[in-house]
Amino acid sequence: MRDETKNAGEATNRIREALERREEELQTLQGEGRKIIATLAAFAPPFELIEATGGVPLRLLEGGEADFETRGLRLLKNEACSLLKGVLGALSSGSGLRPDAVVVGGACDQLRRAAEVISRDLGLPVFEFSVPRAHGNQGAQERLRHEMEWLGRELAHFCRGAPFDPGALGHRVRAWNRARRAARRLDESRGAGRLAGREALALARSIWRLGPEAFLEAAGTIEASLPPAPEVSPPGVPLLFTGPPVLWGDDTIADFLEASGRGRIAGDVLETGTYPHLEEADENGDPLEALAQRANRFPLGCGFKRPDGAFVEAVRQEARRWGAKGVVYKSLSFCAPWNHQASRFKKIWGLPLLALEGDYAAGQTTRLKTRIEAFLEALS
Amino acid sequence: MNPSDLTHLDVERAPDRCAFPDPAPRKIGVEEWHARFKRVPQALIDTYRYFRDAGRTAWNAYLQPPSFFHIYGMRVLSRLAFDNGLASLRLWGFVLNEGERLYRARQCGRKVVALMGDYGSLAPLVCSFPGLVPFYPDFQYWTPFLGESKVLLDTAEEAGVGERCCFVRSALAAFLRRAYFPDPALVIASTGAVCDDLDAVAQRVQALGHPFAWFELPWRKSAHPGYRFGPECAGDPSREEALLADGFRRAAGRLSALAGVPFDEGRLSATLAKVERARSLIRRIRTLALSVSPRPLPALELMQVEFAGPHFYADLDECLSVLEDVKETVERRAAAGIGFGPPDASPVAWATPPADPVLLHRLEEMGGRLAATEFMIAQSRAPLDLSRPPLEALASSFFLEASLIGNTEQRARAFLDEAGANGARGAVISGLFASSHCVSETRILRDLMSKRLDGPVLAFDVPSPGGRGLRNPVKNRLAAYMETLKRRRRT
Repeated sequence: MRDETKNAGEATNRIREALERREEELQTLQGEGRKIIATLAAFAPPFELIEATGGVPLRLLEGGEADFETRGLRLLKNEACSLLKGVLGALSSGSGLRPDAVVVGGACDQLRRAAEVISRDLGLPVFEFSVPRAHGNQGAQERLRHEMEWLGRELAHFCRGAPFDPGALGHRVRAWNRARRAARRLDESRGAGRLAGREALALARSIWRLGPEAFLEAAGTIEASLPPAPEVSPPGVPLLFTGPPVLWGDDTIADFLEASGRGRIAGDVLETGTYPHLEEADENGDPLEALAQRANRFPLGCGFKRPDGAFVEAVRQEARRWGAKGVVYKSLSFCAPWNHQASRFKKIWGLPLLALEGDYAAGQTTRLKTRIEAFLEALS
Repeated sequence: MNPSDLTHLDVERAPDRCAFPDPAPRKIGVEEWHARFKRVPQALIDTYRYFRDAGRTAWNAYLQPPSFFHIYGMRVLSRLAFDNGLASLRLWGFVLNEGERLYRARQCGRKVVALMGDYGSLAPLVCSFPGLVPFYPDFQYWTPFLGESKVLLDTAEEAGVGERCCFVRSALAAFLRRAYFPDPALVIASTGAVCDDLDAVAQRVQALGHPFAWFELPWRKSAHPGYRFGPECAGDPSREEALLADGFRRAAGRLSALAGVPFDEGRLSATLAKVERARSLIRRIRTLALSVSPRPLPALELMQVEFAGPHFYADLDECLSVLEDVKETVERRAAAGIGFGPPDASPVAWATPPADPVLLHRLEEMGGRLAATEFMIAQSRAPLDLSRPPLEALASSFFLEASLIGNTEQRARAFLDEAGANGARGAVISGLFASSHCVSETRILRDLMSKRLDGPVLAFDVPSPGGRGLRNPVKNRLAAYMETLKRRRRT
């Protein structure tokens, strides 16, 4: 587990404690024979599905540091995306909890191909979960549902040696919806200036490790301790934060944006942020269908769907909702789905856009700081 | 229709062909072909035409020497050498004429459909509709190398897609410059199991406002070896096929609206019979060119034959005729024991299409020969089961040999079998810098190849055109590699 306490407020300290407890709990669960199923993306597959098969989902969030990225070079070429190098580097380092299997699914071709590396080089069982990229059509939803049914059967066999019982899914959908509602309240607290943007991002990210019950408990404590909303507008230029997932250890930009008090992350459209929790899965009817519908119609904080119009609109809406004066578009080296759209988004969002692309190397800190300061200066 | 019944598409018996007989096989340069071309009878030039249903027009002859295309900007041709036979001349003329052919298509009322990323699955469907012509803007990735020019790469960079994207960024630039192919009436771009760069480029193309549809390529067909799958639920290939066939059906709906005629399974079946004929010709030519010594077809010509598979160079009927011609030549040479290069040329397996055509030429100049190829288009030569309903036949064929889906081990299996059968002593992987498939695949491919072939593997990224800075090191590495192969052979 990475240290979430740098520049931390009270909320982050509470989350850190919750994560430490969860780490111990996960080790205990694994010791008792429960299968820890790691994923590389929050929505692929839905965590509800893993839990319903008896597995314990574990989002791989370690890796946002130069050491891990360098380690990842043993497995991938230099021009692999930094996130993938970092995650695989961390996974191969043996420093954290070793999962029992990995479900590879989600966004991009690099991620898809990571399945083979994990299987061959790290010796972990791998399940490939194909999330349709083309969305908004019946075929995509049908394919997704088919994939979930298939993975449910595979994981149930792997985790419990038993057939998949979709009946357990409804219960988990309701639990995650409750956690999503708590995440939304934190999102609103951030927008109202009661919670620092960086802290809200860290909290939202922790849900993928804590699971819904522990997150609800931690979020409740944090909510109760938040100060009232300021009577005047909170200080700092409100900004919208977007880009690929932000791993533990990769909060430099969020830190810089808010450190001087001139900027404020008012909202996000990030897969590891609060945005994916804005929409719940339907609790009535077939839960598998509800999860497939949600994934097919909602951008889930990532621009990987084709076409990416829903994501583009999500950024527009969130920027409007929080009165953002600019967009911070933080991408990673060789992340094709994000990097090659930046110049296009700059035109269509009609807001000042700071596009930052880099890896996890510490040597970039000064350059990033200078660019962020210049951007904030121009906005204010 | 059985593909063997397509007698009307057999190689043409042009009346003046005997007036221009093939000499002993030899590779010749642009200037020599230019001089030799003067002896080609005009009647023969008049015989070979694309879009034959347009009749004998002033514009649809394509038999031209390489010097013709060199003058029009394909500067790399002067650094290559070509098969001196008529069938290969015809092949080159047909291939290099494609850009003009697309503009002519639109001028004579056809609708040009741009396909992206699937390489061979959707083109048969497009060809089954009257008046629709398929092409792949992705293949503009050759253009900077053919022209030895960075114009397209610079244009892409100005549009925000720089050198951290592989050479497929040339496709976006070609759309922006509007001078390399006509504006398509529809773009169908594949997503899912495609290269991330291609996918990003396709999204940029959609944003330009062209009529657009997305097509989902599945990640896998069934259980992968080495992956965890429960014994009672090892995937469901028939379900995957059905989902892909549904995708084809939706694409057919869009094409039907564009062509103004309903989708007709009978028409698609007839088209698939031609496509299977084309694929069987490609398979036959490959088998001979890769296994017979001396080789009956040089490497570059073989690559052009293979790349007929994805979209038949925008004219299926004429493509069939060209392939028949090449096949006949290759069979004749193989039977006579004549061909190119020394009989003891070192057999090499080659993975990933070399963006720079000079590389394949150099391989042969340095005493090598191709023994196996994997140009990421294996699905475009996979057999079609014509006894099945046509959409199912297309889907099952895709799953049979697709380079794009599954894992590296699956992709490499047939390739390594071919390499082993043809005595490959080593392998070359010509990577594409920044492409999503190369970042994890190169190391795995190298491991698989060196184990299976018990020989050295050379892996490099193809340098950008327009400068010798990086080219010379690659040339030197290739030369050193070929020396190593020869030395190993001697010992």
